[in-house]
Amino acid sequence: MLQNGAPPELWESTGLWAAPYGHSFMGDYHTDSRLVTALDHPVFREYRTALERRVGAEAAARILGVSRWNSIVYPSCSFMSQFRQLRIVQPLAVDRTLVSAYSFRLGGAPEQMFRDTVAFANVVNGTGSPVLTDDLEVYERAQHGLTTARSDWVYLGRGHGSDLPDEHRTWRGKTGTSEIHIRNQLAAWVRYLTDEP
Amino acid sequence: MSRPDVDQLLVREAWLLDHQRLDEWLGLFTDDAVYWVPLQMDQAEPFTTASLIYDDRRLLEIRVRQTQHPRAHARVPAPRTVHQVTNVQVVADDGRELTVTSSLVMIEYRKERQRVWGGLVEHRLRRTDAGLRIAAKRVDLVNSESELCGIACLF
Repeated sequence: MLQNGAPPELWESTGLWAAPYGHSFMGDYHTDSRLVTALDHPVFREYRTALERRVGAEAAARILGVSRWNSIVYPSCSFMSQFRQLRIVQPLAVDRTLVSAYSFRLGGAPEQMFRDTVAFANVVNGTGSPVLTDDLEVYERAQHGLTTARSDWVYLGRGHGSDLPDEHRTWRGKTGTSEIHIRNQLAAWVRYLTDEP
Repeated sequence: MSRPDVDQLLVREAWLLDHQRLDEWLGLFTDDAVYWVPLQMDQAEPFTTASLIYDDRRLLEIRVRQTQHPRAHARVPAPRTVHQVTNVQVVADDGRELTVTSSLVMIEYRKERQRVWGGLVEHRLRRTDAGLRIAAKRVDLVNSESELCGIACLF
Protein backbone atom coordinates (compact mmCIF):
# COMPACT_ATOMS: atom_id res chain seq x y z
CA MET A 1 0.00 0.00 0.00
CA LEU A 2 2.32 2.68 -1.23
CA GLN A 3 -0.15 4.75 -3.25
CA ASN A 4 -0.36 8.50 -2.62
CA GLY A 5 3.00 8.12 -0.92
CA ALA A 6 1.11 7.62 2.33
CA PRO A 7 2.58 5.20 4.88
CA PRO A 8 0.78 1.88 5.57
CA GLU A 9 -0.08 2.99 9.13
CA LEU A 10 -2.15 5.82 7.70
CA TRP A 11 -4.21 3.46 5.57
CA GLU A 12 -4.66 1.04 8.45
CA SER A 13 -6.00 3.86 10.62
CA THR A 14 -8.45 5.14 7.99
CA GLY A 15 -12.07 4.86 9.07
CA LEU A 16 -14.24 2.50 7.05
CA TRP A 17 -17.94 2.20 7.84
CA ALA A 18 -20.59 -0.12 6.42
CA ALA A 19 -24.34 0.31 6.76
CA PRO A 20 -27.28 -1.99 5.96
CA TYR A 21 -28.25 -2.45 2.28
CA GLY A 22 -24.67 -2.29 1.02
CA HIS A 23 -23.89 1.36 1.72
CA SER A 24 -20.49 2.40 3.05
CA PHE A 25 -18.05 5.26 3.38
CA MET A 26 -14.49 6.14 4.23
CA GLY A 27 -14.01 8.75 6.93
CA ASP A 28 -11.31 10.16 9.20
CA TYR A 29 -9.25 10.65 6.12
CA HIS A 30 -8.93 13.98 4.44
CA THR A 31 -8.46 15.93 7.64
CA ASP A 32 -5.07 14.26 7.84
CA SER A 33 -2.56 17.01 7.12
CA ARG A 34 -0.21 14.53 5.52
CA LEU A 35 -2.69 14.12 2.69
CA VAL A 36 -4.70 17.31 2.56
CA THR A 37 -3.70 20.86 3.23
CA ALA A 38 -6.64 22.47 1.46
CA LEU A 39 -8.84 22.99 4.51
CA ASP A 40 -6.84 26.12 5.34
CA HIS A 41 -6.82 27.29 1.74
CA PRO A 42 -8.12 30.87 1.36
CA VAL A 43 -10.83 29.69 -1.04
CA PHE A 44 -12.10 27.14 1.46
CA ARG A 45 -11.99 29.74 4.26
CA GLU A 46 -14.08 32.05 2.07
CA TYR A 47 -16.57 29.22 1.55
CA ARG A 48 -16.70 28.50 5.27
CA THR A 49 -17.40 32.18 5.97
CA ALA A 50 -20.16 32.28 3.34
CA LEU A 51 -21.74 29.14 4.79
CA GLU A 52 -21.60 30.53 8.33
CA ARG A 53 -23.30 33.71 7.16
CA ARG A 54 -26.06 31.67 5.58
CA VAL A 55 -26.80 28.97 8.16
CA GLY A 56 -25.01 30.16 11.29
CA ALA A 57 -21.76 29.03 12.84
CA GLU A 58 -23.21 26.03 14.61
CA ALA A 59 -24.90 24.52 11.55
CA ALA A 60 -21.85 25.30 9.41
CA ALA A 61 -19.62 23.44 11.85
CA ARG A 62 -22.01 20.47 11.78
CA ILE A 63 -22.13 20.43 7.96
CA LEU A 64 -18.37 20.76 7.54
CA GLY A 65 -17.80 18.26 10.32
CA VAL A 66 -19.11 15.50 8.07
CA SER A 67 -15.74 14.25 6.97
CA ARG A 68 -16.10 11.56 4.33
CA TRP A 69 -13.96 10.45 1.48
CA ASN A 70 -15.37 7.82 -0.88
CA SER A 71 -19.00 7.09 -0.08
CA ILE A 72 -20.97 4.34 -1.75
CA VAL A 73 -24.74 4.35 -2.06
CA TYR A 74 -25.22 0.76 -3.11
CA PRO A 75 -25.32 -0.37 -5.84
CA SER A 76 -24.44 2.35 -8.34
CA CYS A 77 -23.64 5.70 -6.75
CA SER A 78 -20.31 6.87 -5.38
CA PHE A 79 -19.58 10.36 -4.14
CA MET A 80 -16.80 12.38 -2.60
CA SER A 81 -18.66 15.14 -0.84
CA GLN A 82 -15.76 17.37 0.10
CA PHE A 83 -14.60 17.52 -3.51
CA ARG A 84 -18.09 17.82 -4.96
CA GLN A 85 -17.72 14.71 -7.10
CA LEU A 86 -20.41 12.17 -7.92
CA ARG A 87 -19.97 9.03 -9.95
CA ILE A 88 -22.71 6.80 -11.30
CA VAL A 89 -21.61 3.26 -12.06
CA GLN A 90 -23.56 1.36 -14.72
CA PRO A 91 -22.65 -2.24 -15.41
CA LEU A 92 -23.14 -2.96 -19.14
CA ALA A 93 -21.73 -6.49 -19.26
CA VAL A 94 -19.67 -8.73 -17.06
CA ASP A 95 -16.50 -7.04 -18.29
CA ARG A 96 -17.85 -3.61 -19.28
CA THR A 97 -18.81 -0.83 -16.90
CA LEU A 98 -19.73 2.75 -17.73
CA VAL A 99 -18.79 5.32 -15.10
CA SER A 100 -20.19 8.84 -15.43
CA ALA A 101 -18.54 11.51 -13.28
CA TYR A 102 -20.26 14.73 -12.28
CA SER A 103 -18.75 17.83 -10.66
CA PHE A 104 -21.03 20.02 -8.56
CA ARG A 105 -21.04 23.79 -8.28
CA LEU A 106 -22.18 24.85 -4.82
CA GLY A 107 -24.62 27.77 -4.81
CA GLY A 108 -23.12 30.86 -3.20
CA ALA A 109 -19.64 29.34 -2.95
CA PRO A 110 -16.60 31.15 -4.39
CA GLU A 111 -16.28 30.69 -8.15
CA GLN A 112 -12.71 29.45 -7.69
CA MET A 113 -14.07 26.52 -5.70
CA PHE A 114 -15.83 25.14 -8.77
CA ARG A 115 -12.70 25.60 -10.87
CA ASP A 116 -10.81 23.62 -8.23
CA THR A 117 -13.54 20.97 -8.36
CA VAL A 118 -13.03 20.58 -12.10
CA ALA A 119 -9.25 20.50 -11.68
CA PHE A 120 -9.67 17.78 -9.06
CA ALA A 121 -11.95 15.81 -11.39
CA ASN A 122 -9.31 15.93 -14.12
CA VAL A 123 -6.63 14.58 -11.82
CA VAL A 124 -8.76 11.95 -10.08
CA ASN A 125 -11.72 11.01 -12.32
CA GLY A 126 -10.60 12.02 -15.81
CA THR A 127 -10.14 9.39 -18.50
CA GLY A 128 -6.45 10.29 -18.64
CA SER A 129 -6.13 10.86 -14.91
CA PRO A 130 -2.99 9.52 -13.28
CA VAL A 131 -5.21 8.08 -10.53
CA LEU A 132 -8.11 6.61 -12.51
CA THR A 133 -5.93 4.90 -15.12
CA ASP A 134 -4.16 2.89 -12.43
CA ASP A 135 -7.51 2.04 -10.79
CA LEU A 136 -8.94 0.81 -14.09
CA GLU A 137 -5.86 -1.29 -14.70
CA VAL A 138 -6.34 -3.02 -11.36
CA TYR A 139 -10.02 -3.74 -12.16
CA GLU A 140 -9.07 -5.13 -15.55
CA ARG A 141 -6.37 -7.33 -14.06
CA ALA A 142 -8.85 -8.62 -11.46
CA GLN A 143 -11.35 -9.41 -14.23
CA HIS A 144 -8.63 -11.11 -16.21
CA GLY A 145 -7.78 -13.21 -13.16
CA LEU A 146 -11.41 -14.22 -12.79
CA THR A 147 -11.46 -15.64 -16.32
CA THR A 148 -8.85 -18.22 -15.40
CA ALA A 149 -9.73 -21.57 -13.88
CA ARG A 150 -7.27 -21.03 -11.09
CA SER A 151 -9.70 -20.29 -8.30
CA ASP A 152 -13.40 -20.91 -7.70
CA TRP A 153 -13.68 -18.21 -5.06
CA VAL A 154 -13.03 -14.51 -4.70
CA TYR A 155 -11.42 -13.87 -1.36
CA LEU A 156 -13.10 -11.06 0.58
CA GLY A 157 -11.89 -12.10 3.99
CA ARG A 158 -9.49 -9.34 4.96
CA GLY A 159 -10.52 -8.15 8.43
CA HIS A 160 -13.36 -10.67 8.67
CA GLY A 161 -14.40 -11.31 12.26
CA SER A 162 -12.89 -8.09 13.57
CA ASP A 163 -15.52 -5.59 12.33
CA LEU A 164 -16.91 -3.47 15.16
CA PRO A 165 -20.52 -2.31 15.64
CA ASP A 166 -21.07 1.36 16.47
CA GLU A 167 -23.97 3.45 17.73
CA HIS A 168 -25.46 4.34 14.31
CA ARG A 169 -26.37 0.77 13.29
CA THR A 170 -23.23 0.82 11.18
CA TRP A 171 -20.19 -1.40 11.41
CA ARG A 172 -16.65 -0.18 11.33
CA GLY A 173 -13.71 -2.08 9.92
CA LYS A 174 -11.13 -2.62 12.60
CA THR A 175 -8.51 -1.41 10.16
CA GLY A 176 -8.69 0.79 7.09
CA THR A 177 -7.75 -2.10 4.84
CA SER A 178 -10.60 -4.32 6.01
CA GLU A 179 -12.81 -5.60 3.18
CA ILE A 180 -15.89 -4.91 5.29
CA HIS A 181 -17.42 -2.72 2.57
CA ILE A 182 -17.10 -5.44 -0.08
CA ARG A 183 -18.56 -8.10 2.24
CA ASN A 184 -21.31 -5.62 2.99
CA GLN A 185 -22.11 -5.26 -0.72
CA LEU A 186 -22.13 -9.00 -1.17
CA ALA A 187 -24.53 -9.36 1.75
CA ALA A 188 -26.87 -6.76 0.23
CA TRP A 189 -26.70 -8.45 -3.16
CA VAL A 190 -27.55 -11.84 -1.63
CA ARG A 191 -30.38 -10.23 0.30
CA TYR A 192 -31.83 -8.60 -2.84
CA LEU A 193 -31.60 -11.88 -4.69
CA THR A 194 -33.21 -14.02 -1.99
CA ASP A 195 -35.68 -11.78 -0.12
CA GLU A 196 -39.34 -12.19 -0.93
CA PRO A 197 -40.63 -9.03 -2.70
CA MET B 1 11.21 31.33 -37.97
CA SER B 2 11.14 29.05 -40.94
CA ARG B 3 8.77 26.22 -41.56
CA PRO B 4 11.60 23.63 -41.52
CA ASP B 5 12.30 24.52 -37.85
CA VAL B 6 8.66 24.00 -36.94
CA ASP B 7 8.48 20.74 -38.87
CA GLN B 8 11.68 19.55 -37.27
CA LEU B 9 10.38 20.24 -33.77
CA LEU B 10 7.10 18.39 -34.33
CA VAL B 11 8.86 15.41 -35.88
CA ARG B 12 11.41 15.41 -33.06
CA GLU B 13 8.61 15.53 -30.49
CA ALA B 14 6.86 12.55 -32.06
CA TRP B 15 10.13 10.62 -32.25
CA LEU B 16 10.89 11.23 -28.56
CA LEU B 17 7.39 10.06 -27.57
CA ASP B 18 7.58 6.95 -29.74
CA HIS B 19 10.98 6.00 -28.30
CA GLN B 20 10.02 6.63 -24.66
CA ARG B 21 12.58 9.44 -24.43
CA LEU B 22 10.24 11.22 -22.05
CA ASP B 23 12.73 13.34 -20.11
CA GLU B 24 13.86 14.83 -23.40
CA TRP B 25 10.22 15.23 -24.46
CA LEU B 26 9.53 17.12 -21.25
CA GLY B 27 12.55 19.28 -22.00
CA LEU B 28 10.77 20.57 -25.12
CA PHE B 29 8.17 22.31 -22.94
CA THR B 30 8.50 25.71 -21.31
CA ASP B 31 8.27 25.99 -17.52
CA ASP B 32 4.77 27.49 -17.81
CA ALA B 33 3.58 24.98 -20.40
CA VAL B 34 0.10 23.50 -20.56
CA TYR B 35 -0.73 20.07 -22.03
CA TRP B 36 -4.43 19.78 -22.74
CA VAL B 37 -6.69 17.06 -24.13
CA PRO B 38 -10.20 18.56 -23.98
CA LEU B 39 -13.33 16.53 -23.39
CA GLN B 40 -15.79 18.60 -25.42
CA MET B 41 -15.63 19.46 -29.08
CA ASP B 42 -14.53 23.11 -29.39
CA GLN B 43 -14.14 23.32 -25.61
CA ALA B 44 -13.44 26.98 -24.88
CA GLU B 45 -11.65 26.65 -21.56
CA PRO B 46 -10.50 24.01 -19.08
CA PHE B 47 -11.81 25.36 -15.79
CA THR B 48 -15.56 24.86 -15.87
CA THR B 49 -15.75 21.65 -17.91
CA ALA B 50 -13.74 18.53 -17.20
CA SER B 51 -11.02 17.46 -19.61
CA LEU B 52 -9.54 14.10 -20.52
CA ILE B 53 -6.20 15.61 -19.49
CA TYR B 54 -5.31 19.10 -18.34
CA ASP B 55 -1.74 19.30 -17.05
CA ASP B 56 0.29 22.27 -16.09
CA ARG B 57 4.04 21.78 -16.16
CA ARG B 58 4.09 20.26 -12.66
CA LEU B 59 1.34 17.72 -13.44
CA LEU B 60 3.02 16.90 -16.73
CA GLU B 61 6.23 16.10 -14.86
CA ILE B 62 4.25 13.83 -12.52
CA ARG B 63 2.69 12.15 -15.56
CA VAL B 64 6.11 11.50 -17.06
CA ARG B 65 7.50 10.18 -13.79
CA GLN B 66 4.48 7.90 -13.46
CA THR B 67 5.00 6.60 -16.99
CA GLN B 68 8.58 5.73 -16.07
CA HIS B 69 7.72 4.26 -12.67
CA PRO B 70 8.39 0.51 -12.41
CA ARG B 71 5.24 -0.10 -10.34
CA ALA B 72 2.61 2.20 -11.87
CA HIS B 73 0.05 -0.44 -12.85
CA ALA B 74 -1.41 1.13 -15.99
CA ARG B 75 2.04 1.89 -17.36
CA VAL B 76 3.65 -1.50 -16.75
CA PRO B 77 4.35 -2.06 -19.53
CA ALA B 78 4.17 1.45 -20.95
CA PRO B 79 2.07 1.73 -24.10
CA ARG B 80 4.04 1.63 -27.34
CA THR B 81 3.03 4.29 -29.83
CA VAL B 82 3.57 5.53 -33.35
CA HIS B 83 2.71 9.20 -33.86
CA GLN B 84 2.03 10.32 -37.42
CA VAL B 85 2.07 14.13 -37.66
CA THR B 86 0.80 15.73 -40.87
CA ASN B 87 -0.93 18.79 -42.32
CA VAL B 88 1.32 21.20 -40.45
CA GLN B 89 0.33 24.86 -40.77
CA VAL B 90 1.68 27.97 -39.05
CA VAL B 91 -1.55 29.87 -38.49
CA ALA B 92 -0.27 32.77 -36.39
CA ASP B 93 3.02 34.40 -35.45
CA ASP B 94 3.24 37.36 -33.10
CA GLY B 95 7.02 37.48 -33.12
CA ARG B 96 7.31 35.80 -29.73
CA GLU B 97 5.16 32.74 -30.30
CA LEU B 98 3.83 30.79 -33.23
CA THR B 99 0.56 28.94 -33.35
CA VAL B 100 0.88 25.73 -35.32
CA THR B 101 -1.89 23.31 -36.21
CA SER B 102 -1.43 19.74 -37.34
CA SER B 103 -3.20 16.42 -37.65
CA LEU B 104 -2.24 13.47 -35.51
CA VAL B 105 -2.88 9.82 -36.16
CA MET B 106 -1.49 7.65 -33.42
CA ILE B 107 -1.36 3.90 -32.97
CA GLU B 108 -1.22 2.76 -29.37
CA TYR B 109 -0.38 -0.81 -28.43
CA ARG B 110 -0.36 -2.30 -24.97
CA LYS B 111 -1.12 -5.74 -23.59
CA GLU B 112 -2.59 -7.31 -26.73
CA ARG B 113 -4.77 -4.32 -27.47
CA GLN B 114 -4.22 -1.83 -30.27
CA ARG B 115 -6.06 1.47 -30.40
CA VAL B 116 -6.07 4.10 -33.10
CA TRP B 117 -6.35 7.74 -32.07
CA GLY B 118 -6.99 10.68 -34.34
CA GLY B 119 -6.77 14.28 -33.29
CA LEU B 120 -6.42 17.87 -34.36
CA VAL B 121 -3.43 19.38 -32.62
CA GLU B 122 -2.55 22.95 -31.83
CA HIS B 123 0.92 23.85 -30.59
CA ARG B 124 1.88 27.23 -29.26
CA LEU B 125 5.63 27.42 -29.87
CA ARG B 126 7.76 30.04 -28.15
CA ARG B 127 11.05 31.38 -29.41
CA THR B 128 13.64 31.00 -26.65
CA ASP B 129 17.41 31.30 -26.47
CA ALA B 130 17.51 27.49 -26.59
CA GLY B 131 15.35 27.43 -29.72
CA LEU B 132 11.66 26.72 -30.18
CA ARG B 133 9.89 25.39 -27.10
CA ILE B 134 6.32 24.19 -26.56
CA ALA B 135 4.35 26.65 -24.44
CA ALA B 136 1.04 24.87 -25.00
CA LYS B 137 -0.14 21.72 -26.70
CA ARG B 138 -3.80 21.00 -27.26
CA VAL B 139 -5.03 17.72 -28.74
CA ASP B 140 -8.68 17.51 -29.76
CA LEU B 141 -9.39 13.83 -30.22
CA VAL B 142 -12.11 12.98 -32.73
CA ASN B 143 -13.67 10.62 -30.18
CA SER B 144 -13.12 12.75 -27.06
CA GLU B 145 -16.85 12.70 -26.24
CA SER B 146 -17.08 8.93 -26.60
CA GLU B 147 -17.09 6.43 -23.76
CA LEU B 148 -13.42 5.66 -23.40
CA CYS B 149 -11.22 3.23 -21.55
CA GLY B 150 -8.40 4.74 -19.54
CA ILE B 151 -5.76 6.76 -21.35
CA ALA B 152 -2.22 6.08 -20.16
CA CYS B 153 -0.47 7.03 -23.40
CA LEU B 154 0.89 10.43 -24.37
CA PHE B 155 -0.42 12.22 -27.45
